Amino acid sequence: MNPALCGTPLVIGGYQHETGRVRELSGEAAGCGVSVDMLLRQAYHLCPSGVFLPYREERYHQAFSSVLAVLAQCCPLVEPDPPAHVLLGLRYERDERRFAEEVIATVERQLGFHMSCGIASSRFAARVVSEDAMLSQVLVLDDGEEQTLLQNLPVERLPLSDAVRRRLRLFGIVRAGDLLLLPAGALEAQFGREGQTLLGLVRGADDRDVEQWKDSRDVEQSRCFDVPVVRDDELQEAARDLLAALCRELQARWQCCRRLTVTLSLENGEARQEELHLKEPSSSSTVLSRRLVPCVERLVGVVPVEELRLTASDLCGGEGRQSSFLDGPPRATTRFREAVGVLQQRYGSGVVKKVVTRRGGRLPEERFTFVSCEAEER
Amino acid sequence: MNKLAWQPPEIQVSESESHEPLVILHEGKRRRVEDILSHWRMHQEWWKRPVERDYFRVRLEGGIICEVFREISSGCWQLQRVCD
Repeated sequence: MNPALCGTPLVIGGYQHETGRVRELSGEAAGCGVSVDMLLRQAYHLCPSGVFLPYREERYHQAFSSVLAVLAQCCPLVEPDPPAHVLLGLRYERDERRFAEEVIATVERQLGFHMSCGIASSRFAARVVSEDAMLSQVLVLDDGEEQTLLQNLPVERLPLSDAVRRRLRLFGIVRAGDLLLLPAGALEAQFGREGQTLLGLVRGADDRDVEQWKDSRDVEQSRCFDVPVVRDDELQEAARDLLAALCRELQARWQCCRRLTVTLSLENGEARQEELHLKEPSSSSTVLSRRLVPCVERLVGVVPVEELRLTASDLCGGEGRQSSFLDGPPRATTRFREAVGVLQQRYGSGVVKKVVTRRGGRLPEERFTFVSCEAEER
Repeated sequence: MNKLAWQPPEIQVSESESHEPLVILHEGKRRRVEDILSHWRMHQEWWKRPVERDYFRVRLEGGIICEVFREISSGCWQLQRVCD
């Protein structure tokens, strides 16, 4: 970020004389009436004092990924909606507004990016409201207001191809609500599948669940020793500390790893490496240390070690997480109940299942079945 | 301990002329079959759910042991079990 540009109306998408459209803008530019997707020349007309900069896809992608990573630490259900939107699943949050304000503050504190947020019961309505909100503001749309907002929306703000937008204008359709007045089937007959989708959006029927985004970047922890180490117990202690930090980072990302790579850089310039493949993905330091301790024993030799590095890769979502709830003794009923309760509150009542064995099945997959598991059960 | 698939996922397998697995492609990773540990055929009667499968317990490169089967009627390969 360039501090010299702070407080300046900033428009990203290209220079003012170019033919492109606005991709992103600062709050100051928005105050002049500039909006996303507007022609650059039109934006210049509204905001002649603005600084116009080209859109650099690679840097934008990096920034977007870093925002996603921070959001994924705040909320387990995060879905990118490029180029500039992110959907968060808040179904199980009790105080949505406060949660959203905390998320915005976290992103501002950690990355310096300002965001706006809209909360609604459907994806499209939430997106529209977030665009209406000022930077760092959270707008919440109640159920009754959602229909009114969507029906009064100008057709220009609907996600349409240019051809459909032009034809709607020729038909004299200005607001999204006008589409509902058309005879049944007319929209589909005129615009095919796009028309059908459009009708769903205007009716607020876009209530698909938020899909979980997975941060695929490897997690790495390393330690350089000022004095090269040769003793096994010192290396084991360092490995334990690194593993604890690695697991904390994985858990903060709601992720588990399937592969752990241990690398020792030796004083003579050589490196020794071993990959540990896990049968069950895990982010539990107890589970991972069972594999790590013998691995470090195998790798350590007579040559002193200068650096120890652990890399968790092949990352996946928390589907293997349930195993870590049961790390303690089998009598940890309370812990199990709490874990089931948290999962059900966060992901819905059907997320935790109990396995029941069946008699008579010859095929392996017919020898058991899943039934619903209640939080009160053991 | 092992992981048994309730809905066995489909996998891509390069097989020999006698339909023995040589290379397994699953979740974007290719793994060579190092050894076939056992092989059996499973047949279920037509009045239940007619099934005829060739099962292979194999050791893959990297030391992973798993059970895969080939549906004889369709020739499709599926992953049944991953063992510790």
